[in-house]
Amino acid sequence: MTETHPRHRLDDVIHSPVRLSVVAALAGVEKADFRSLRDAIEVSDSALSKQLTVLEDAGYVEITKDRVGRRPRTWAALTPAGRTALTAHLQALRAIAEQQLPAVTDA
Amino acid sequence: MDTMSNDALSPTAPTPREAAAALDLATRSTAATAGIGHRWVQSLLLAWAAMTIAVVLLVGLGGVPGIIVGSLIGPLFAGTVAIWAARQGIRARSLNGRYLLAVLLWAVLYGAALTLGLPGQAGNLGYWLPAALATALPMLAAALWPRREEQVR
Repeated sequence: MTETHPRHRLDDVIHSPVRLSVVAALAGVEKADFRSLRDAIEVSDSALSKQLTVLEDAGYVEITKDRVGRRPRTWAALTPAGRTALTAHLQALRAIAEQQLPAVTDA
Repeated sequence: MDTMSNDALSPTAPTPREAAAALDLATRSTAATAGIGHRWVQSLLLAWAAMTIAVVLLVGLGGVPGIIVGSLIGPLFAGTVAIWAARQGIRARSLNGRYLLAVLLWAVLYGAALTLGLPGQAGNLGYWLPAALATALPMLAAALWPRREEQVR
């Protein structure tokens, strides 16, 4: 069976709403630190940390660390693979969103 | 069991309405971070433009005291901006593009305004006011030019 329905092109990693928010938020910038990302997409520290780990393991997000004065800071950036996956996922979503339900006709 | 039916009812397949909601979520997420990244750079460029006008007018119209104070403002501003920029939590994607071009143009105009004006135009408002505004122009243009939408399509 050929898989022509756009749902087959959805990315399982990005399909979660929080992970979709994370990669979409990172797509608009070069990189974002943990606190700014958390505030922008309005999730808890633990939820963001967990989802970033999943995205990093998938190769979609790169995590780096530096310091501002004495305070450590964690940066997240979308990788080229993550950008490609997001683009494909959004295209599949767009194809699904544009699907028309068949018109209901009276018998 | 009919596998096609199960596949068609797969919980991972969103309805058109759910897909549209997911697209909206993605658009809002992208706009949120891109907007923050753009706003702080815009604030920096506007402050830079204001500092430029003040320094050029001070140097050109303020005599020796103006030159001394103007010379101090530049490094003080650069130091403050460097610390402030390092504390920002979002780096805009376009930071390496047109903003660098604006800085290069600013440097050329700033150098030209002082090099041409200091030898013979000291105290001449007719020279220093246009020179100050022209020198600030690259930063104003970079700050106020409509930004390209940061979207993944």
